[in-house]
Amino acid sequence: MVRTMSTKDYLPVIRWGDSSEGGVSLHLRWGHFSEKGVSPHIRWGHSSGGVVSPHLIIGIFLVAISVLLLPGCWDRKDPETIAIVLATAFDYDEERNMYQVFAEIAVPRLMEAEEGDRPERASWVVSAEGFTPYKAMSNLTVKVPREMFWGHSRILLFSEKMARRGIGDIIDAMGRTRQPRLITRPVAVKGDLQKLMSAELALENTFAIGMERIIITVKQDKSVFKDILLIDLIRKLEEPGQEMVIGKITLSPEHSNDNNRESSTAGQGAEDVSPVANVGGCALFRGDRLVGWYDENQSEGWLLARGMGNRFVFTTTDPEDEDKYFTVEVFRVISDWKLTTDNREPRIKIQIQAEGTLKDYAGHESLEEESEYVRSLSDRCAQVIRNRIKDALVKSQEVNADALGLGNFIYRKDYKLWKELEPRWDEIFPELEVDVEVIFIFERSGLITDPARPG
Amino acid sequence: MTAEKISNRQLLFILIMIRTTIIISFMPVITSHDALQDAWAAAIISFFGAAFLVIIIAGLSIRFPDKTLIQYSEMLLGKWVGRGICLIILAAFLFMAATDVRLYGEMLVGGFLPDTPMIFIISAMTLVVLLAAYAGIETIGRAADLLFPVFILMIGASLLFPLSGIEDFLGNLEPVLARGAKPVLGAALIPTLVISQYLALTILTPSTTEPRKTLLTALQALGYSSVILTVSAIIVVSTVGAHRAARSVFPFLLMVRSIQVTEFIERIEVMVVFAWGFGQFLGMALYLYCGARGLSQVIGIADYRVLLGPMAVIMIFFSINAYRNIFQLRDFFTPETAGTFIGIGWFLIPFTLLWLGYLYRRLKYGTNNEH
Repeated sequence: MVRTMSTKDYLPVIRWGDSSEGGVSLHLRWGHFSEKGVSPHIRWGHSSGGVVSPHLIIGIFLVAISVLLLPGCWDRKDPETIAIVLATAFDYDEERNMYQVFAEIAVPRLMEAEEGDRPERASWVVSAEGFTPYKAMSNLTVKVPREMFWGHSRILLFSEKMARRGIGDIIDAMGRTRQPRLITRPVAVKGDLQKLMSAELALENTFAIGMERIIITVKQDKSVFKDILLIDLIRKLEEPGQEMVIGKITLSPEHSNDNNRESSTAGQGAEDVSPVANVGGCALFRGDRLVGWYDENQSEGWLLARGMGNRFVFTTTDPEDEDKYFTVEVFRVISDWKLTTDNREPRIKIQIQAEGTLKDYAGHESLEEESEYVRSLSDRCAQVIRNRIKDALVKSQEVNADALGLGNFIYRKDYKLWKELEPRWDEIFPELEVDVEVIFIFERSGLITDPARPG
Repeated sequence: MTAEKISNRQLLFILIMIRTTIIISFMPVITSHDALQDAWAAAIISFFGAAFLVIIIAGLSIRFPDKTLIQYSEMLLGKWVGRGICLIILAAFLFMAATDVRLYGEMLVGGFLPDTPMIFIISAMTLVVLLAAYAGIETIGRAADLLFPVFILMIGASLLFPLSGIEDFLGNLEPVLARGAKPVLGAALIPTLVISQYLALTILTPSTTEPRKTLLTALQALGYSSVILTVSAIIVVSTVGAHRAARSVFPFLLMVRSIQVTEFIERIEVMVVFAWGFGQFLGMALYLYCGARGLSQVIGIADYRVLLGPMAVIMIFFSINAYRNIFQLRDFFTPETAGTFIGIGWFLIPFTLLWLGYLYRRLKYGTNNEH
């Protein structure tokens, strides 16, 4: 019969003795004693001859199991206890020197509603203030009944005021803290941030998902917007000779006015909801501060010069008849930059090869074969592209923000030259000569050749 | 001679995994110095430096294929000096295990489990490692067989996914070697010294099926892991930028967190955490096994297993208390600190004495044998 267990019973019995190999070995005996002596033990198969109690084995097993099961407990988060942030936005109160953060929080109960009962809006926009970005974010805690979770924030918005003040500390907070993702999309907003986030979108019941879809669609079908992830933006901020460029969302005028907004969002169906915002154009930064805006054409120029973008749509006049227009879709752009120096003064040449398709044509000329006329159409397209790029360059030189990264190009290609130029780059850049050469190739005329003519 | 044996293939897997784990932990080629976009060159240079140290370590071991460091150091340098040298190397195992697990804990607490006490994470990993070390080197070898393909798959996927999203892949590596050799050489120092992981060969060589080939196996492992390190340095710099990577505590993890291949392939850092965990497990098990086995030989205990428990507790205590915070942990991996501590303490003094002892013996007796 086994005695009542006590701590003493489990003390290891240790004795020193001669080992069979000539040295001194340590003999360990773990176990408890019964009236008949040592209770049954499991022997470990090694020479020290130690014996271990089955209770100890069970103890180790329980500890091992608890190790597997318990590590998550401290950080356990049930979905019903967290408030999932879909969009994050920052504004700045200049009078009080306070950051204002807006968070669009998903309301899963409304998202799960049946198709017919689904409300126009399945999210809630809440705001808080603080002296630093993270402080503002943490101040939301006292307003939201659940724990804030920033890991699903798809979009990061900056108001114009915020961007002009500088977004470096927000970028720092986003990179330093654990939850926010670096694959969120930073965007600058022209117009009232709160109105934009609170507005209803026609096809989506949350602002973040709706805006993200517009951004992706614009990126795919009409490259007038610089879609960038936060991690890429950080890279641009830290690279020498390179300024940040991010996409721009402009609140539409009818939503800028409170009365109009109420009439439009209080409508009875999607057909009453006017477009909230225009996704197009870019914001130019110098350091971490906004210094100017690209319109859509300049944004196209920026993307073309960088060999980026997916599809560009241009309209220009017919070389034979200035009253007629034709539209071209550019679907492939190859950009090649060359650096030359003249007396240690840099000169950059941007060579573009673009390929496109005719999308509509109001002229009367034959498009059956490669002709002088088709070549003149190509030249017109090349000129449009050249103008777009020049426009973008002139704008960035006006605000002295090297958005195209010409300095960074010199830094990469001729490090010694860059080290010479870097201290006075701010003076060199606005005057820098950049040659733009464009070759445009009409790949196809669409599914028809000659235009339809009255019979 | 020891009864337990692992094949050289298993040793290869273990050595690749433990070195690659350091790459995915804090990427010393990027974070330890200012090599920036030239980190890939530092990775290549570190191969040659590390290969030299591997030859120093394993070159001696293969000359005594049936003896551990404890046995041949006594033979070469006498009982007390030999044992003194052994204690330095054995302390290195304890130190490496404690430091590695602390890094792993810092990553988990900092990035994923902020409320979980560090000691719990470290103790949990140590418990698993303790069981592996108790089961013996054969079990550790079989674990390497099992984990190696998964490990490589996870690292491979982490390196392949970002490629599709890099806007200007090669452009981000420019200017190439423009700032001269100094930053690159500086950045190569820590990855070179981290080869101290391969000190395990001094204990493991007699436990391999082909002990005379352990040097070749170690060099192969170093070669493969250096390829992974070089590719990783290129992809991390290209993805997150040289400056951001250099300022990051865990650059590889940052790179994986920045992956967005499509709307669906993102948030895949779990792969890195798992791969890191696998490498961490094998590395710690190896250090604990080697430490306990070496110590048992030094103090003349027949079975190393009785030492595992106390050593594991010391390791947990050490990993918690050796570094007050992440700043001290990072400070250790600077060329000034680690260069002195590892370079002189673990390599220069012990191996100079051992090799001198060996050469003296060769010249005097013309043989390695005791007589």
